Amino acid sequence: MQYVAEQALNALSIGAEYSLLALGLAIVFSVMGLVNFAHGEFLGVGGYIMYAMALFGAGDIWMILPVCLLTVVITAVLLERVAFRPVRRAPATTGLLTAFGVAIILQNVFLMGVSPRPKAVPAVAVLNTTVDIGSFTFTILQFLEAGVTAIAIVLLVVFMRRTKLGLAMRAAAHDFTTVRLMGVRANRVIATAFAISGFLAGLAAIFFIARRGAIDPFMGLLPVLKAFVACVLGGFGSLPGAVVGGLVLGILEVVLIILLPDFLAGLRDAAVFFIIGAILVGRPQGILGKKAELGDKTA
Amino acid sequence: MLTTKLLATTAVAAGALALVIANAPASAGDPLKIGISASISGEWAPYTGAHGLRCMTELMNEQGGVNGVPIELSVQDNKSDPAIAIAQAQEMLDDGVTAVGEAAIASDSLIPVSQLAAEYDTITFSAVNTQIEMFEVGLDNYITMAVPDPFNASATAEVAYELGARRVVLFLSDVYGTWTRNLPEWFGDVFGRFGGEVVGRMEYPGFGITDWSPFITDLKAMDPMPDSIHISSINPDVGVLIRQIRAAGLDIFVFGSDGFDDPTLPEVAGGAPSVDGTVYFATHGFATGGNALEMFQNECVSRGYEINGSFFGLGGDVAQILAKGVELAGSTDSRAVLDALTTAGPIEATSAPSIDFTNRWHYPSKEVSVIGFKDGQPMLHKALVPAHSPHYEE
Repeated sequence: MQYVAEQALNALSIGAEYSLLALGLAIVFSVMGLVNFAHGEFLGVGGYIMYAMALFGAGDIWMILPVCLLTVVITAVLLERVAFRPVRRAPATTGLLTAFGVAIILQNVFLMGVSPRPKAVPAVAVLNTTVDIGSFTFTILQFLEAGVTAIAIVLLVVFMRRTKLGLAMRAAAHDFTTVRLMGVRANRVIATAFAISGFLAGLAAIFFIARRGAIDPFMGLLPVLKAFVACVLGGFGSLPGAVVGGLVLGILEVVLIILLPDFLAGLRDAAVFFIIGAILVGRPQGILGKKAELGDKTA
Repeated sequence: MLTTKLLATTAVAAGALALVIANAPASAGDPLKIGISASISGEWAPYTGAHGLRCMTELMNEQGGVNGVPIELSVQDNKSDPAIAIAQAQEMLDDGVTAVGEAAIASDSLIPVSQLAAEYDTITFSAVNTQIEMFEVGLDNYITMAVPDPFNASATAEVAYELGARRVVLFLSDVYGTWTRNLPEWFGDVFGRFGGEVVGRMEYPGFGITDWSPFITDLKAMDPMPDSIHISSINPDVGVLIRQIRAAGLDIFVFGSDGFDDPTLPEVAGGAPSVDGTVYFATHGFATGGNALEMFQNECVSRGYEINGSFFGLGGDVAQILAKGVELAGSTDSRAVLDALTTAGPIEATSAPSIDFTNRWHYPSKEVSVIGFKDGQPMLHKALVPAHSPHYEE
């Protein structure tokens, strides 16, 4: 029983992390059709700012957390203004290349500005403290990750449904041109999408660093790939799809760790992608993606 | 005091090198040209030997170089990318180097580089590669300074048993070939010969794992509980694993390979309580008690170099060993240097008292350092020549 409960929470917290990242990726894609592969480097920005603060003696966790979130949000908005806005009307592939370029530049900034080697960031390690509930042992981080992700999703839903800007973003996801014809300022909508994306990445960075305890210049690469897979699985552009995709991916990974026998364990990643492939064969638009019919406006 | 110590250190380092240089032909000859495509950045950056090679070359050149001619060293960053490494190696070979090496550390780039170099009849070296593949693909132009994986595993297993470990779980992956899969299995093999037991195997998908909790939950559910694990992987992954194991309340031994040899490991792992007396790994040397490695490292630190574990010393070995080869061969001809090195017997080195390449595979036969931790700082637990050598036993 304890084993099942612990593995269930493991799956939930890993899935929640993927969901947070996927949601950040999806919100930008839904508004401007950009797959922002630099999203992983937002994690790096969060990690390196935590490292810098601890290095300069500002190691108090209550100071580190808001500064981390704020820095990642500012970075995301700044990058939208400097790197992505100039190529907004360019073909999608240009945006994709820009995202890769921004990612590489940020990696090199970390690499040359700090070190090519991993650096320890114990500042938020306190989140890894274990708690005993009955005969079960969990870490605070696992509850926080699942809980904060759930709260962030609820707040995002409220924002999208109850505010004018949220409404504009939802409408922009369907038809940006019409939204602009209604007098909505495109720059504001897109900058808000990047700010939200940065906020979600900042949250993910806190959990990521709390668990990992270290930064390195390429730490964002694997998470953004997982987030991308989660987005595709859930239905690219669909925000609920990103959440569901992240959770399914996390649960799949943990279930296969548990179920695959030793002699097949080396095929775990292949099995994960086989299952994802099977889901996409049945639902090519992703789990919650909307099927586009011939003649539908898709972007 | 500092100046006296510095002078003494420099004098000893210079003295060690003087032996090499004094016996070299007095007349100025061709320069020893060394090309290294190194992982200065990227995932393998913590393990490069390039910085040590640079420092040793600097020291040797201050003493007159080799054959009275300064060593010409070319270092290029391949960003840990095998494709870049191969392209850079090709350039260096075209420049007529005596030895080209390191590549992106792994055999997937070293093998093609060696094959390229074979066409030029040029030595391929690695400061840090430990994989058996390199000795098994029929290359006769390759040398490495690092302890081969079977010996690393064997030394750790010997120490693990001495420390009281009896039931081990092996963490395995295909991500880095024999280093991540066979090395733990060799550990298990030797551990079994001493009387220990491999009670489980866990497959992990590769590098970049930030959450080991599903594996740790599996460990906790085992009955009987293992008292130790062995993993051959890189930092920060192994540091994160140790931290999460401790966070889960497991006070078991964690044994590892040279991937643990990163100065940031104890901090990433959670400091002294996470590593003291429970984390041990085998690596290529340890700077202590005024040994050659310590003197070399101290001298390099005073020159502004940052020490990246024992890999720094292995880089120093490259310059030292190649220079010795030139001295023995009386020439910078690559083939002559290689023949001299592989027939010379034990050669004085920096990372260990000596390195011997005379076995039939020409792997480096040397002392293995097993490192533990005290107060969160690495300390030499034992330096040994392992009793068993799995894989290489006839």
